[in-house]
Amino acid sequence: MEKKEIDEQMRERHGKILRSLDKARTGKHITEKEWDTKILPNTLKDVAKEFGLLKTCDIENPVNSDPELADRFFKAGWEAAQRLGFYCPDTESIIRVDLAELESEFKKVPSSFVAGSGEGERTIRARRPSDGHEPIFTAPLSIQMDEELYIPLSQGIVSSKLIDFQEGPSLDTVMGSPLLADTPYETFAGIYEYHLRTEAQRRAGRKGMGNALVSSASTHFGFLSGFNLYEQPQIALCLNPAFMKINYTTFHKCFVANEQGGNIRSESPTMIGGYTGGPETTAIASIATDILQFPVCGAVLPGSPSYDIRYSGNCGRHGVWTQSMATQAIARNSNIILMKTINQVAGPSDDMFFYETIVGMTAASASGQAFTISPRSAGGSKKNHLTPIEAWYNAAVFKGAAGLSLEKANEICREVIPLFEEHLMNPPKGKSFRDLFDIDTLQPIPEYKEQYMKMREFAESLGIPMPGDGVIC
Amino acid sequence: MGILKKIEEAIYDGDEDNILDLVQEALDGGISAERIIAEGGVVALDRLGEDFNNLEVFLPELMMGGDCMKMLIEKVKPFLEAGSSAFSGKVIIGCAKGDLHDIGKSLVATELAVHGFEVIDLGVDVSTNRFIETAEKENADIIAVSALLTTSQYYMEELINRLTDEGKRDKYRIAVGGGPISTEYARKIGADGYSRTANLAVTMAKGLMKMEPTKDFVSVVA
Repeated sequence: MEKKEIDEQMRERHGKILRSLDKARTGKHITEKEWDTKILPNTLKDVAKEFGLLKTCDIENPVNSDPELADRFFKAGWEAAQRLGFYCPDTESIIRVDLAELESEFKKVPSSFVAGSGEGERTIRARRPSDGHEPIFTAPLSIQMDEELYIPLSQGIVSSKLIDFQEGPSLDTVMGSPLLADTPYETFAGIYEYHLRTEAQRRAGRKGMGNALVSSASTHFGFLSGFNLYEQPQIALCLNPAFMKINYTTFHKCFVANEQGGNIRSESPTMIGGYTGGPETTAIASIATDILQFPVCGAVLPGSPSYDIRYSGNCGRHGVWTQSMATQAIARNSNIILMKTINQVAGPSDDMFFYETIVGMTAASASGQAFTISPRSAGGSKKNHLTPIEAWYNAAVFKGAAGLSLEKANEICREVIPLFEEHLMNPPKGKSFRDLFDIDTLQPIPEYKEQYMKMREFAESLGIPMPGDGVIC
Repeated sequence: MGILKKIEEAIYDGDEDNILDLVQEALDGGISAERIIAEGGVVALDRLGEDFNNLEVFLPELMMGGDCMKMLIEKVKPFLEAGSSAFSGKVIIGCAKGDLHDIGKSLVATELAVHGFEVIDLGVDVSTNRFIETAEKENADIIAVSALLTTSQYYMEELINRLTDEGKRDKYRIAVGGGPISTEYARKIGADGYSRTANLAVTMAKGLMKMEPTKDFVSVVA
């Protein structure tokens, strides 16, 4: 093959990332503090004002049902995307995307892609609000587990067909050694996780199941070592360091993902109360982040979630409103295959966890999310606080709520949020996998099984048809 | 509007252009440095804190208020009575190596700054060496380390072990926090303090300043 032909292929596959790298290298120099405290918040505030969006957050109705308002948010997000671009902390410069490029790239955003193989193959499609098509559910988030629990927990979770893909959990040791960030331990973790994960999926009879990779290493080392071990296509975790920011670590991963035929997932949460300000400006920042992902790094699965900085979750009123508004804006106005996470802060076996799940997943599914990864039991902050039951319950609500009207989703949220909101600042952390399951038989203890069934009935009583998990029910 | 009220408003608004002139005006008017801090600065910061909790002001405003307060304190320092201290303590803060998650750490740094601590923020992805070098150079009271990633939390333990090995552990109070960190973990690695949220970090830091390093443990979770 001539070099010219090779270059053409490379341009096709990697040109977008090379272009972004060039922009990062030559873009306007700005300190990160100036970006965080002045440029970003002031621009978001200006845009919100121009589009008449300030003070539109209605916490009495956490799920928006006004399509015109969602469309206005989309327009504001589009404007913010053009004015801001992504900040690159490595070069301390801005990667701008002008209107012509944004429009051209926006037309190319794929509305579906495939990952997994054989029986595990799934097509992930963009959805609209109240879409009757079931969204795709991936489990769990990268919650830290003891090394010896990785296989049994993963096996337990993916033994339910409600789980379409696997992402977490994450390791914090590798064969007894500490998994230190930015070191060769991470390189090994990428390899080690592959072996543990494929064994768990084999035991669960889920050969060919798709994955979101790599979950146990945050820097690029684990990704570079692990991603190419899997049969493609898979989902590549090329997460941003923060919303409206992208760095060299992400670009490292994107090159490899593209070359291997992976599908890039990229995001980072916006924080209500943080640099993006209140719920309205935070929703705009999330929309802008999602719009920019494909033009800047080729992500086909973006989805910047919004967390409330006061408790680092998003199942309270402000969190639900912000996230469902941003979701509806994108789902109504684009082909973007939207993924956002729901961050529960209560832990396994506490009723609050199930209530948070009903609220977060119902709002997400009805608002048009195409894909999610969950659970984040105990806010992801308690080691081993994750069992298969939370994953199955999340999946059942997320899929069961497909097709619900926004009004119905709002009604459900209004009924359930008061059951737990006073505990958001100091949530119960629940119990661990060892406390709640027999690790050898992978059966839940009777009390937890009973609670799970009771909570499934509760969700049904609210009007959410709960699909069976195929394991217990 | 009286001069102290003007100072309060300037801090609340993050008005870096005018704060020093206003403080000078207050000093020229014979108002003590202690009163300027307490009745101008602290009142504004309390308002900012309350409004932040109600989602009426946000992190950038809080940071700008903190920066203004720092300017105010530097300005009145020479006028403080002997024995008075402008700052409640000096804190070196940063995210552990490999961790790029800035927001939680920045919020803690801001909360501490607005509550009278002198804060040196080293940013994200901070090596153990840099924590120690800066703490030594700045004669810090507290080294505060944040980690959202489990793969970075090990560096907290590394920091404590390094300080112990180098005979420096007794010089600094070590505070840790972040998503995967808990009271149990903080105790296990030999830290002096842990707080579950940024707000609570102020109570923790105040508690730490009342104790000697390694002699006690302060955990604030609610």
